[in-house]
Formats: sequence, C-alpha cells, structure tokens
Amino acid sequence: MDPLGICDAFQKVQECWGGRSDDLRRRWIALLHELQDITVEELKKAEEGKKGGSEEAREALLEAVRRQASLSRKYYAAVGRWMKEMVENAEGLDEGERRRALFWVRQVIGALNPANFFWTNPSAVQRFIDSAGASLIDGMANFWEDAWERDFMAKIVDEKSYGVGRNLAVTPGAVVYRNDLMELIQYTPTTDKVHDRPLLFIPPWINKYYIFDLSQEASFVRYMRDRGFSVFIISWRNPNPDMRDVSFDDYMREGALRAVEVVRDVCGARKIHAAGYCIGGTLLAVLMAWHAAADGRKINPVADWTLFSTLVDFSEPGEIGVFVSPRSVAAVEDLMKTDGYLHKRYLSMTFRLLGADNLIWRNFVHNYLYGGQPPKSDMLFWNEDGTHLPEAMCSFYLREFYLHNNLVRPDGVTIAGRPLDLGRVREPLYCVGTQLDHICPWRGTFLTGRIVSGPVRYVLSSEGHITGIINPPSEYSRRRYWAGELLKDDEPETWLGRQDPRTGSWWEDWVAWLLARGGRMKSPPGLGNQRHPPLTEAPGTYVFEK
Amino acid sequence: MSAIEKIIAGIVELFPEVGDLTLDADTPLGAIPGFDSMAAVNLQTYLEEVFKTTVFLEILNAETTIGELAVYLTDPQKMAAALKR
Repeated sequence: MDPLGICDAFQKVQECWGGRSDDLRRRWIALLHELQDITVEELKKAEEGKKGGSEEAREALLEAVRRQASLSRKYYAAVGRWMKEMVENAEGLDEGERRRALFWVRQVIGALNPANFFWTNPSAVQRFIDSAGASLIDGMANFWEDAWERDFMAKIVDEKSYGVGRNLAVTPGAVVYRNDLMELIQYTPTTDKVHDRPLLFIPPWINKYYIFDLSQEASFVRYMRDRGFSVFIISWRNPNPDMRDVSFDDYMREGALRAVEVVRDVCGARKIHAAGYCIGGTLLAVLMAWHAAADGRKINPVADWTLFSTLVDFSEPGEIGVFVSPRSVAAVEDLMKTDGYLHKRYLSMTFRLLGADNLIWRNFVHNYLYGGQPPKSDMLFWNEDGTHLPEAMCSFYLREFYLHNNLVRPDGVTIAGRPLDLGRVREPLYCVGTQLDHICPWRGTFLTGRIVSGPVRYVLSSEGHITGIINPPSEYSRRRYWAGELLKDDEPETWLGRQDPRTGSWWEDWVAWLLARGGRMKSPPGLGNQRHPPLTEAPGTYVFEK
Repeated sequence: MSAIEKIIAGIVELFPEVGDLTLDADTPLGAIPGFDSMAAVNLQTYLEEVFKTTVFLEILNAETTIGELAVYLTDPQKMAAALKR
C-alpha cells in the first residue's frame, strides 16, 4: 500500500509539528484571522453594492454567486498558502520528504479549488442559466462517457480534430529501415543541394515521434529539411507483451546505433549529426559514451550531438522524483509482471499529476461543469497518444538512472558490453534546457555539459518541456533564449549571468551551430538505397500502433 | 466589457489559483501561478471562444502582458497579418 509514500510524507509533516504546539496554534489563529478579515471585507462590499430598483433575477443570482466565488477564492488562496507553509516550515524534514509532501499538498489544494465546484464557479452557474440546464446535463454525459471509456480520466483534447497522416506527421518521406523496435523515416528533400552531413532525430519512446512533425507551422523536421539537411527520425514501436525482455541495451543497439548506421549508408556519409530528446537524449548520451569506450582506432560516426531537455545526471529529477523511490519502483515492477510492459495509462496519469492544474482540473471544470468539449490542439493530441514501456527497459531505466544515478559515475553502467564513462566523450555538444521544465529541470540538463570532455554550447529556452523545444521561429513570438559556451566549472546561475537574453527561437542558433560543423553541399541522396529500399511512405506503420 | 476585462475574467475563471493577485494590463501571463505551455493551450481555447478569432499559441508566452494580449486580440490588422502566415 502507498507505494508513492504519500501517507508517510504527511505523517512526517505531522510528527514534525508535534513538538511545536504553540507555534502550530499561532498559525491556526493567524489563518482564522485572515479568513475573518476577508469575510468582513466582502460583507462591506456587499453592503455598498445594494442599490434601489429591481434587477433581473438572473443578474441578482449571478452577482450573489460571483461574490460568493470571490470570497471562496480568497479563502482558498489563504488556506492553500497556509497548507504549503505548514510543510515548508516543518522542521527536521529532509528535502526529499519535504518535496514529496509539498507535491501531494499541492494536489489536495488543486482539488479544493472553488472553481471545481458548481456554486463557487460563476461561469458554471451562468452557463447553466443561459442554457436552461443543458450545460450540466452535457457535463454529466461527458463525465459518464469518460468514466466508462477512459477510467475516469477527463478528455483533454478534441480527438476528432486531428489524425496521424491526416494533419499530423504529414511531411513526405519513407520508411527506409524497419526492425522489431523501430522504423527509420527519411524525409524527401526540398532543396537543390543538401549538407553532406545528415541529421538523425532520436525522439523519446514515451510518446510517438511526431512531436517533431506536428502541424506544418510547428514541424521541426520540416524546418530542418527546408534548411538543406537530410533529415531522418526514429519512429519507435509501441511495445506489446512479447517485448517484455527488450532492454535499454536493445534500444541502444537495435535503435540508436542501427539508425546511425543506416543513415550513413543511405547518405554515403562518414559522419552524421544526431539529436535526442528527453529519454531519446539519454539514449544518445549512452551511445556517445559507448563509442567513446571503444578501442582507440574506431571513430565515432556521430560528429556532434544535441540534447533537447535531457537528463543524464538524475540527481535533480524535478517533480518526477516524487514518484521515484525504491518502494514505488518495486510497485511499478509488480505492475508490469502481468502485461510485460508499463501501460501507457500510468505514465499518462503521472504526467497529468505533474501538471494537475492544467491536465486534470481545467478539464474537469470545462468538460463537466461547463458541459464543454475539450480544446483542439495538436500538442495535446500528441500528449494523449502515449506508448507503453517494455518491462526490462523500464525497470533498468528507473533503477540505474533515476534511483542510483549511475550514468554519471565513470563505468557506473555497462551497456552492450562496454562500461560507460561520459567524461570520455569529446564530440561537440549542443545542449538545450527549458526554463519551466518540470520533467527535466534545466539545471539538471545543464550538468551534462560539465561531465563530458568536448566543447559545449548550452542553450536555455523560455517555456516548458514541450513548447520550449517545439519552438518555431515566428514574428509574433515573445519567446527568449540564452546561449553560450558552458565552462566545466560553471554553475547554472553563473553561466546564465554571462548571457544576454535573445528574442526568438533557438532553432536558428542551432542551425548556425550545425552549419559551422557541416561540411560541403551536395546533391540530395535518394530515399533509401539498394540495401535499404523504401518500405512504405511516412509516417510508416508503427506510429499507428495503439 | 473591454478586451482587458474579458481577458482578466477568463484568467480568473481558468486559473482560480490567482486568488487575490491583482491583474491588470501590465501583468505578464507568467505571473499566473502554474502558467505553462499546457495552461497556454487552455487560455488559447478560452480566448478563441470569447473573441471569435484564431489565437496563435506563440503569442501566449510567460512574458506577454495582458495589455499586449488585448492589443493582439482587438487589432484586426495584426491578427490578419498573423493569419496570413
């Protein structure tokens, strides 16, 4: 029971306050005073608001609801603040316990939000009156649909507005290689000449690859293709029960390593650029260290590498750390025994809890209290199109990386027969972190640059884990980034102190960085070659596996 | 209701965790507790519904102020230029 240690965290907070009853009493009284002040202030306003003449009943009711909601919001803000302070000020709590307690307190606070309740949500009441009750009836229908079909998870996106191959993942290309783990897609060039060094994207396998190929304006692969790169991307298979033994080794050998070889072969290129995102970036780091561990005569076919929002040092895993403890990992391993994989719904729930305000409660209110339909958003559609994780790989990933942080220790992890030491990696690294990332906090992504031996350009982008990376240049964008050389003894803050903010998207900076390492221009290669003929058109077949 | 008032009403409705925070034209969206890319998508939906126009996600940044957003939403020329892209 309680594999995430939720009760423990609360119990410890309670114990920590046990010996400080006076302080606790003071805090209680302070809260009550604050609530009283808020109430008195609201009552005064109500007195002032009384006017002669008659108002429509509707307006009167709405006004009363608004006032009550305003009061509730103030109560709520005060109670929420108070609850957080209780955890923040509990003495003798270690940082991990405090973080865990704070996280779950925030979940409770999120659930108690007045907007989540009909009578303290003026918009819900207004919609109810305006639609003669239909909004709430629609909301109930939405609720029951989600209860029956989606394990009580509210729909977060209008799924009918998008389709893979219809308006997502539509950049033309072909699958030029397929094995049991991945399809490798090559995109059709649009420029007369291409850079002779091709570019391979290694996406995460927690969702589908087309985060790099959303609708046209936001498609990263399209952007790079139009700048004269021969672009390839891995489309990972959604694991089935037969894949329970597929390991991180397999993802390295049959995924990243194999893809690099096929890209080189198709393009006749000695070396390539490679870029990995999130767990795909961790895999790329493993590949780089694996090559660095080869004997001296072998060259690394990856000339330079790029990491998007990637952790290699897991000592600062952000809020996801709340879910990772020896007990929770053991519970996850138990869960996987039946199916042979970690079902995508658990990952989906985890990500929803990490962004609960937006991914749970906003939809609860919109879908159920307002009776509305969820938004049309390519990014949210992608977010919902999750994949399972194979048992062996998932267990290794959680234990070796998240729990024991072994990838940063020289020879701490052995993959495909070689002990890995990231300190031996000498190829230039372009490393991107995002300011509001709660999955891979930027200060954690920064640490990679301090471990490796090669030169590092670190880039900090505004926005979060997804929008900071899928960040197309736009004249309307107010987005910013900071970019500059990372020195081995830099702390994140000292590095940031040296950089001036730049307006726009870091994509342009990345293209310039790649071109500085790019080599000559040549005629574009065909799609596939004799050894690797095109098997099917992009987006291939694996992306459709549910 | 002015555009700014409509935006503020929407923010209070969508993000009740703003509590007693004062919102005005100079408030950046990043001041909203928990504002991130997913919050932006929800705000986008609200604005599109209320202002009956297309709102590009890249406008809804942490640095964008409520006042700037009102200009985007009420200046048809700017929106038209954005739509043409």
